[in-house]
Order: sequence, then structure tokens, then C-alpha cells
Amino acid sequence: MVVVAHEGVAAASPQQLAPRVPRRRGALSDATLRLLVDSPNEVSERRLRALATRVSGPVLADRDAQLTLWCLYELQYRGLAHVDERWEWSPAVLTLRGALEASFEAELRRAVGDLPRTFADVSRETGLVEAFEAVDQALPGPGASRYVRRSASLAQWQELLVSKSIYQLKEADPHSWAIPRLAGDAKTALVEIQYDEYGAGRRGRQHSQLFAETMRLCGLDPGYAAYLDAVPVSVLALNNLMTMLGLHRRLLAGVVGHLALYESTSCLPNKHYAVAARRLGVPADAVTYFDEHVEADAIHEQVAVVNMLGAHLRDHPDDAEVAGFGVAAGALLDNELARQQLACWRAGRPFLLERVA
Amino acid sequence: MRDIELQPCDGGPLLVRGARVWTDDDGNRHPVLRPVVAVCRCGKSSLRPWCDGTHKLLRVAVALDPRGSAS
Ligand code: FES
Repeated sequence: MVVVAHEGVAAASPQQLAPRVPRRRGALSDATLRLLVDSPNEVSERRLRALATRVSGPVLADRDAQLTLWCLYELQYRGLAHVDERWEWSPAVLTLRGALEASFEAELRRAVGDLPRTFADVSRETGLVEAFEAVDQALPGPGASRYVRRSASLAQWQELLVSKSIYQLKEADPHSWAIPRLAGDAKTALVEIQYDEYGAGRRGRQHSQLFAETMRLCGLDPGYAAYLDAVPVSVLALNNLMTMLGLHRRLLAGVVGHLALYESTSCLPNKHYAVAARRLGVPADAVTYFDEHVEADAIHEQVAVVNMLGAHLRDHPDDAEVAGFGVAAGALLDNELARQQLACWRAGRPFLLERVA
Repeated sequence: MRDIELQPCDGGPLLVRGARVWTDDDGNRHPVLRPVVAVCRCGKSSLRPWCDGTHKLLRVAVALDPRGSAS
């Protein structure tokens, strides 16, 4: 198979656009999105509140629920195409969102069990690096990046990029919600990381832009959330986790912990991805993103764990368990996604819900 | 000349802030393109002089080079 760069959209501009309302939906997301295409009004608000009362049972693996939550969260980022911006702060939207979040968080807390407390204890008694190791031992990753390095086909490589794209095209944004909420050394460290993520003052070097260019060069649509209809629930859930941690001040240490997790677990996988990209013969410029991340994340890991999370927990020792929740929940959902991808790919089945290239 | 700040990391690289050029032990000068860079101290990085995270895979702690030289 030969990769041809995606020509439908220029690389620089599509990221500015609000994503379109998804096509592939279930009953809750369908009802919600039908209401949101009208301007806010009393009838729609009453119906949204009624939908909130019907949210019950597990949402973690429910694509309809996670898609609904993703769309409601997107109102806080770039909005949805043709959806009135005033919905962002509609109390009815926040009520529905809150109902979904309550189930989501409760399920995550059950799933990670005692790990947040273990993280807190180990970080206090031994150190933060050891606390991350404790989570990693309890929730070991399935080694998806090693599979990609050695065995992924070009179609699987494209599926990997599409799966990553929901986050990577807004890379760093969910953690930026923490900036005004942090103080002191932790804030300095977070902004040092984010400055780099957003291109360190160099045009076109935002990591999200590098990722968009990588997608385009690998024959994919680089548009923001262009593949929303194609991604399974595990992709939506891990994106929703980041936003939930970012938008709730009571979970501040969780989003800080989550960023530290991402920065300290991405260096080696990105190295594997760079090897895979070269093995598959994708254009050299498409590898830039991964090379850049090997170098950047080696820096960010130190800044994130020691200077950011370390400083925050020094100033707020009681936050260690919340940080542990962000770390453990992040690892849990990342692993779940990777496990599903591996299972599909090893069986020769596609992971995504739709063909993408 | 700007102030250069050095931050050694336990078992890992040396973070260098404010340098424009990093001179390695062989005297090669590497331009610094970001506000903070991580200089490998374990000797095993494939991106030397920069750290690429390989130090984490080293089971036995290796003696870390305490410094390079900045200019
Ligand atoms: S110190 Fe990180 S690779 Fe050498």
C-alpha cells in the first residue's frame, strides 16, 4: 500500500473549526444533540434535565453515554458546529453533564480501588518516581507500542493515529485548565511544559499542529475531531477523563497527576512509533512528531514529576490521593484502549468502527 | 551572557535552562532550540547530547556524568 498525503483539507486551517455534530449516535446522544441544535429555550432545557434523571447505571463502556459527555465537554473547548455557544453555560446542560460525570467518576473510583491511596503512601514514604512505579506494577500496560514497532501494518498504523487524534489534535488543552488554579512552583513548571507543547513561540510547531501534519502525510484527514464517528468508546472515555479532571477544581491534583503520567510514559512509546513509521515508509516529515516527542518528553517528564507534581504535593500534601486517582484512572483507561487495539490487530480485525483510509 | 540554570535529576538527565549552545565532552557545539533541554548523563541516549528517556531502562544505576559544559 502506498500512502498518499490527504489532500481534502489544508493542514493549517481545519484545526480552527468546531467539530461537526457526530453522525454515529445512540439514544441519549441523539436526544441531546437534537436539543442542542436549537437555541437555548425553556422546553429544550426541561427536556435536557429530564434526560439527566434517566442517566443510570454504568457509563464507562457505554459509547452513547461517553459520546454525549464528549459533546457536552466540547462546548467548553471549541464548541460544535451549528450549536449555539450559549449552551456552554446552560444549567440544564451542566445538570446532564453532572449526572454523566457522577456515574463515570464513581465507576473509575471503583475500578482503581486502593491505588490512589497506595500512590499517596508511596509518594510520601519513598518518592514520586516510586509511586508511579507502584501504579505501573498494579496496572501494567499490554505493550501495544512494541507491537506497533514490530508488526503493525499501514492500516493499523492509520488506526493508531486516528485513535490518538481525538486527544492529540487538542494536545495539552485539557491540562491547561489547571494553569489558573495552581500557584507557586507547580504553576511555573506546568507553564514551562505547556509553552513547549504550544510550540515554544515558533509558528506551526504546536504539537497538535505537528500531529495534524503527520496525519495528513499518512493519508488521513487532519481535521479536528474529524474521526469522532470512527472511534470506539475506549477512546472517548480516556479523553473525557482528562477533561473531567481539568474542569473540576476539586480534582486539580488529578489533572496534574494525569499530565505527569502522560509525560513520564510517552518517551519510549514514541520511540517505538518513530521506528514503526520509518519501517512502514511513511514520509519523513510524518516522523517529526514522534522524534520531537522523544526529545520533548524526556525533558517534560522531569519537569512534570519533580518540579510540577512534586512542588504541588509539597505545598498541598493532602492532595496526594487525588493525584493518585488521576494517575491510576489515566493508566487504567490507556491500558484498556491498548488492550482492545492489540486484541483486534492480532486477530486481523479493524479496531475502529469505520474504515478511515 | 545569559544566566544558565542547571538542574540535575535523580538517576536521569541534567536540565539546562537559558543556554543557546551546549558543548559536549568532545568539544562539539550543539545549538539549543528550546528554553529548557535535558542533557543525557547516562551515556546511553540515542539522541546525545540530549536525553531520550533510555536511562529509565537501565537496571543498574550507572555513574552519571555530573556535567557537560555550556556556553
Ligand atoms: S540520561 Fe536520559 S537517556 Fe541518558
